[in-house]
Amino acid sequence: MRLLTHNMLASNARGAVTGYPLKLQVVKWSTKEVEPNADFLRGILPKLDWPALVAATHALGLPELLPETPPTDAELSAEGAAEEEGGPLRRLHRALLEIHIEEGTLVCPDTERCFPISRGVPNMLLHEDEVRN
Amino acid sequence: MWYLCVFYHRLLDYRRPEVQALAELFGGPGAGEAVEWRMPENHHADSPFHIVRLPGDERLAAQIANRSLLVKGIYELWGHGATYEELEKAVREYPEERKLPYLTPESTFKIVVDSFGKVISFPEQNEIIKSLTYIPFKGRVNLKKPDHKFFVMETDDYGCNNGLPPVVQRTTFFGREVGAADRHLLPTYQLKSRKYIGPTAMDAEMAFLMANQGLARPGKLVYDPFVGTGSILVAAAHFGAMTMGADIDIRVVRDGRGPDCNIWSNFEQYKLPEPLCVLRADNNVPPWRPGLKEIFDAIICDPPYGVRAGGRKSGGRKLIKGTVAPYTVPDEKRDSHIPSTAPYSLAECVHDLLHLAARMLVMGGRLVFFFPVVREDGATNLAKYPEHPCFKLIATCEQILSMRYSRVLLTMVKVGPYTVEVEKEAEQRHREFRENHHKWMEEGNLHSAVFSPAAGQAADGKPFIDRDSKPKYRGNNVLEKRSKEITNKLLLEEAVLRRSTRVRAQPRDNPSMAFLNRRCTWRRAPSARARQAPRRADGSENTAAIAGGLALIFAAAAVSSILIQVSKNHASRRRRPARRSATTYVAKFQPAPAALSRGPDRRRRARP
Repeated sequence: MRLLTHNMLASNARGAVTGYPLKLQVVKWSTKEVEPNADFLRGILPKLDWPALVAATHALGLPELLPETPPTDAELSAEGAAEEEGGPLRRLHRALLEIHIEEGTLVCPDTERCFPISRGVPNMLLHEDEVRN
Repeated sequence: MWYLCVFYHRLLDYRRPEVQALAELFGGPGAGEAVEWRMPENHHADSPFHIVRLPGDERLAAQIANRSLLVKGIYELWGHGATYEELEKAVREYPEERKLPYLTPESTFKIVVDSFGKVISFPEQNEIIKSLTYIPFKGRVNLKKPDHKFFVMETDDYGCNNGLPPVVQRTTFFGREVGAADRHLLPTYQLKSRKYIGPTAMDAEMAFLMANQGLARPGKLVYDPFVGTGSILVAAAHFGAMTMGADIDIRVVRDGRGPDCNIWSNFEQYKLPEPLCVLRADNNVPPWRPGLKEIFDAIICDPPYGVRAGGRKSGGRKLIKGTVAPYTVPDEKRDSHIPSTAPYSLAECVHDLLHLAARMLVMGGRLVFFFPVVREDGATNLAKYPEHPCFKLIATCEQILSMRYSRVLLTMVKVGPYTVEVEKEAEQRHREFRENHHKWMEEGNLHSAVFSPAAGQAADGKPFIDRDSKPKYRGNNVLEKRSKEITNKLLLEEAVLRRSTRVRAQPRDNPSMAFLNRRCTWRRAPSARARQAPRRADGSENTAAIAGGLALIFAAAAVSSILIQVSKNHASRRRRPARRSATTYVAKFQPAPAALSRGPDRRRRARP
């Protein structure tokens, strides 16, 4: 599971008010190389919940990876941004798409319901008594 | 500019929409709608020859043709005519400034003779190529890597070709190839060499067509809410899109068939970037955070519509023995609990899919999915497709699967934003759709429409009136099967015997087959039995039938075993006087195996 997915998910169990953001507890994570695509990142940036993404990188133990404020569109589309190692675009790319959480748990902030992540697949399915009617 | 677009003669409904989708992909928004079509004179709409006007230059045409799977080639048409004389006239009239740049001395070229509905032999092809002397080719011939490829294509004027209505008039086209499809990726991606597939894995060609309809390309995010083994995402990833998938079954998405045979291994196999995420989630209660919207560029999926695989959603209501309330998971079992699921009807499934797409697709994003349609009497009804106020249906491509049903690939484009009012309208439209299509949208109905036994004729010649009632004489079938088995066994024994003792084939009214006649008389009177049936209780009826049948079988077995003995004796008696040469024997016994294989049929035909 990538942090992009973490940024999209919420708990929908019975009793959860917003169920978001899910607390991330990481047991094991790895890095997967993905081809950077500036257009994709520019398109996805306004749809992200930036504080939640920053919090997720903190939970991974990478507090320096992302700044407190999102990079601007100009920063991402600047000349040579894709090649600049450690530049805002590459850092965003790494945080969103390259960090792959293999084992861990997503915890609902309202109900403490744990959604396990095993072999990279988060299990968001609810039990019978948790489905809202 | 107008081009001749020649298609492969397959998936007829998918051909034009694919070209339009690719025009949109390479030509920018609105280019798909700007594509114009015309048919050559006297050609049926299903003919592979179409004339198309593409909104752009030759590069666009080449891009479309190269990415497409159903376009055999796009050609700049230099001329066409019913005969070669007419063709010559047309090509001579084609403006020189369009022709000469491709006939220069420093270029290389090749001429291909192609045909539809007929075969042209090599000598004939040579003749045709030689007849093209009126075109001033200056370049050198290069058959392997020519700069320019020229095509002569013929349709024939005889009979039906490939299921199309007869061509009224023969047409011959001459054109320069601008681009051609690369179908080489089909053998690479074919399912039979893919590591991990499931029972409903999407055929590679169809998956690529779906990815084309969804405009998959680098920098786009494609989502499949019913990902299964990832067969659709593989196609999207091949075209460079980022992919995401979800499925309700954790065994399929996480475990697969082992560490080297799962969704990830499929992407590894083709050296494709693996999906950004595969999650286990229920499309009925999707786990997206509030406020998240317009994030996917395309949703491409094959929803479970209950014919080959039925949909499931969470919220099964299993009652434990002795309890009244629905199942509550005990705390100590929560971690390893596997929740039960409830059936997910097609209506709900389509509703949730449209809802999800309306919320999560970007403006102009595409929803591509299959929708089943029931066909009656071998023809597709004018189907009504699900609607949503946010979406515009731009393509419907039917693929006929059987006499009973076909599936239609629907391509929808998001044209309006998703708001609360829109949601209300969508609910209203969904309810109307559901009421009008109640019959097929409910759980299991489609499955029975596709798989129920044919509504044929009853034994007495009257058609079944009540299609739903279960066949009453199941005992009959069982007995018939058993009798058949016994007959086969007898025939086999007979054959072995014949081979070992070299006797002639049994006469037709062989007493060992007498039990068949008895069975037939028993079978011949079902109408009489049917008339009596309502008066009897069903159970006793069946019991009586089974008992009667068993008795018959035992009787038959007994009679036949006796008869085998008899025939053995019979055979040995016959063998003695026969003292002839070996060749006479061969000649005499040759028809025996044929008689054996035809035996039961002839007997059946003799029955009134």
